[in-house]
Amino acid sequence: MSLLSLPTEILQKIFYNLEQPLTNVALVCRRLRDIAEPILYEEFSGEMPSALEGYMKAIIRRPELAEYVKSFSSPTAQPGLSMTNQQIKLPSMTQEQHERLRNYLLDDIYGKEKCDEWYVSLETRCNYEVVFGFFLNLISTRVERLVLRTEGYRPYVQLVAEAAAKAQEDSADSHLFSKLRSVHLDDMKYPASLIKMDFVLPYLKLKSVACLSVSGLVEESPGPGWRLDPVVDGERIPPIQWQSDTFQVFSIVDLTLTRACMEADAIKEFLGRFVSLQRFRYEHRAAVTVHDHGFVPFAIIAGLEHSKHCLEWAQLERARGNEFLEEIIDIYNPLASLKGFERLRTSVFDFLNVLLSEYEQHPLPNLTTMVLKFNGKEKKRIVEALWNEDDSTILDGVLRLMAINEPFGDA
Amino acid sequence: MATESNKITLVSNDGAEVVVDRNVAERSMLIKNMMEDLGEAAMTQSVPIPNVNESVLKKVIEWCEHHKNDPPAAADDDSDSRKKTTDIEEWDQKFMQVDQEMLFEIILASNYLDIKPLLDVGCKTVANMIKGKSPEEIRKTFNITNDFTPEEEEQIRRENEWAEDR
Repeated sequence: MSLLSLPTEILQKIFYNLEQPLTNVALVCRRLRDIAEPILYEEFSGEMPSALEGYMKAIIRRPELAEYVKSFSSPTAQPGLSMTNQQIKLPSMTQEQHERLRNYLLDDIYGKEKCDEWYVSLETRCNYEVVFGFFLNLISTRVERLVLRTEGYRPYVQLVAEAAAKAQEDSADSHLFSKLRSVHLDDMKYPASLIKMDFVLPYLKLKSVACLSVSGLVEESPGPGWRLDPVVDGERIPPIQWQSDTFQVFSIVDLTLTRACMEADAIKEFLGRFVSLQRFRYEHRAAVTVHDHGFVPFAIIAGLEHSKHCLEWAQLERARGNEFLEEIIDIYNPLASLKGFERLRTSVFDFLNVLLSEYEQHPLPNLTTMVLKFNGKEKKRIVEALWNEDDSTILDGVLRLMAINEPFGDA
Repeated sequence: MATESNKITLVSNDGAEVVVDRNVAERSMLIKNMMEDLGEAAMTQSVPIPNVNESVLKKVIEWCEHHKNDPPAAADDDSDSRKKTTDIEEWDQKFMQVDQEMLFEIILASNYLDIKPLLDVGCKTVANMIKGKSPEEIRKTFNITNDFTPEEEEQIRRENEWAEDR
């Protein structure tokens, strides 16, 4: 009886218990390497750009490793460590390896011309974006969880996502992103970061994605009657050619929009496309570079119309820390009616945006937790509201108050 | 008779009979399910444990005896097994101070008998024996022969370097 005579599943269990990377285990012998390697490559969450570079190079050199990647999270940008301008030289490979590698760019998916161009840039320009896009294409067949922190426009990242959505639409057998369940998109160009709807849309179309979170989504409505569907001869260029007569719906279950800044028409139209939301969180931030459209809970609740029957958890709030803007924001912008949100169990709202009497008029049968966030100034109003007997009785047993940090001190 | 009826007899693969309290034996999900299937008959006949020898069976029962009042483990075994922690409570640490042969036998037996907490302790114990060791030290600890060529070793080392860098 020795370590190597234990069955593979027990050795895997032992290795999952190790807190350190399995690099040393992989060097012991072939059998242990074969068990350690899939675990080593299963998840990437490194913070160092050099780690990501090494990880990508290893997978590009041996694309079969991509089969093990289940969770990938790109490093958060650190000052002076931006990767976007970096060159990534491919590891040295034989002619045979090169030919094999080129075949991982599927002509059917991206088109032969694009693939050829892409592969040439990969070898000659060694541009970070080209290499990362190629890497994303490699891991797209198995990856389940994706955290993409971009810096500005990412043409190849977008290309892979769009191609995957298109391929899935054309054929149920497409493997690209077919196992992807959870996506987080973030733009690191702080504070001017923004993510446009075009970048997000492909992930919404992927059937397997249940959980989507976007930080920094900014959308302005071009004018009255604005629609998410592109106007054929209009200004909006569609990321994917939508059929103008189909009303695209999204089957995401869990949607989180943080540091978002969306105009009323845009958010209403956008949320109206979701038909099965169970959890929804919207955190509004005052825009830094674009015009602030204001926090519009009314439009958000109206947009959630098609998820009324299934929404269990809702959180709507303004990003705090911008308290100085309070003077110019319409502070009393209450929610629309929550009537009909029968499954709603938890609500987390900014105090300022809640009309307590609303709950009295339309009691929600399943609501067990209601959290109101408030700061020092708002506290006074809460006390006033709760002293009102009519209001306090309906909130008995449900209400939880959450004091939030007062950035400028409690006056 | 009342106390008698709460005992069951297990038979190891080398023919030894071990009498044990039913609630102790039922730390093993395999035995628990078997008892439920057999009903009353289980109390009168002995239960063969074909994959486990006497010394290992006794050791496993010793563990079950000490942990008989533990709350049942959470059902979400998938997330549980991935929780990277090599903390082991003191009694279990002492319990696991056995030779490697016995350690691996306990792991195999707990896997076969479906005693998840014991399997966890066993796996963590082995993980602790690997932790912080160089490849050569791991080979030495477990008496493993290096079957890589020096070139292969260098290749693997270079390829996985990124993992040390995060």
